Amino acid sequence: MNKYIKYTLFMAIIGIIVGGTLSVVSELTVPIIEKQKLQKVEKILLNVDDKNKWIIGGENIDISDDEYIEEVYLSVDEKENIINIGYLVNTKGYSNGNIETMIFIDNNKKTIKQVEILSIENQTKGVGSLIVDDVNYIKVFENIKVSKYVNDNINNHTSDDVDIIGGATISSRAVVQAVISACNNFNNIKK
Amino acid sequence: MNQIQNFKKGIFNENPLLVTMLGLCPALAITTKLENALGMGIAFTFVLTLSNIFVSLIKNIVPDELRIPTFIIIIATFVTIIEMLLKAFLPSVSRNLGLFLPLIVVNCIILGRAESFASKNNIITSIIDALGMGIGYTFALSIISIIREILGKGTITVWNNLVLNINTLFSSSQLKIFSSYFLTSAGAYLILGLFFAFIKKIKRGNTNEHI
Repeated sequence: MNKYIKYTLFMAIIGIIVGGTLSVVSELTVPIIEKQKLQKVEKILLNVDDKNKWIIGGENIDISDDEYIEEVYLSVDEKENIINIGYLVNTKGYSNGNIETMIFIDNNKKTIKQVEILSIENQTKGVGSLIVDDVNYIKVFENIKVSKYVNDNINNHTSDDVDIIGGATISSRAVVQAVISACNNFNNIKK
Repeated sequence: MNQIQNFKKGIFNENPLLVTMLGLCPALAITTKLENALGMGIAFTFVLTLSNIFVSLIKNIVPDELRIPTFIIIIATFVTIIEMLLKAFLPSVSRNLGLFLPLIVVNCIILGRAESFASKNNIITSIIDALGMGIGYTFALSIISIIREILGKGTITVWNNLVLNINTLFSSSQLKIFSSYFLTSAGAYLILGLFFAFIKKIKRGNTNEHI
């Protein structure tokens, strides 16, 4: 048999075995990872607003246009008025690692109420991880008017530089991108 | 070489980090906390042992030209498995190890043992070699991280359990600035350098040779 065919077959068999093994492990671990994520989201939602009821999504909120927003949460009072809107946004940080951020917007004040980083992936410890290690970082977004980030573009982002951390530029730009996505979506909600 | 010597060489005479100076990048980066060192060590030992087993098993059927790509695929598979398992069961360790966990794929120790040892020896010998090397690497990482965590933070915390707290000794601001140095990469270099010097001194005995 031609040695190239033999080599191709060999690598194909290795690929099939590896693919099969990884899919089995994935089947076992993905539900556990999803469950942990859900528990963490619930904890954050209650931390932001434990007086009102949280619901997922809403009729007037369309997230299909935004490539980063994964889910929307609404806290509503007894009269079904929306008090806060929470966005779960997944952007790419350093080394294409996922950065999941939750942005909460006060529907009455039209300001960012809170930003929480749900998870970071592949961000270098002590550098990119500064976005979570530096506990004061996410606080720079609090009480900022939504209008500041509406129609902002991360490539031309000219903020007062407090929302970008030196040394963790790519990771913090991912967080800013998440904030921009959330603010733009909030601005487009049919009132 | 008998199996006991085979096992012991990875811990002492051929310790991958302290003697052969391999795997230095993750050692500098993740040894700020003992739990990171243990997590990295366990992940490393898991990947090394399983890759050694599989490399040893298939050594006679792998064509020579495909040896390295095949070994890398095997190592990458086990790294992906341990990554998924850590994310599911030890998420804080997974987060702390960050980028260094997927980088085990290109860790020169693992590829080196696969190429120079497992591909030439039987399964049992390869497993013992992997366990010795894995324990040796974990041991070295742990010692460095214990020193850095105590000097840098004044505490030892393992998976949310406070094992040691001498934080009060570092209460003055001058001492705090000095101690935070040990949490930086430069501090890690200093401690590693002192370790290398100490080991060289032991190896040479109490002669008057310069280190």
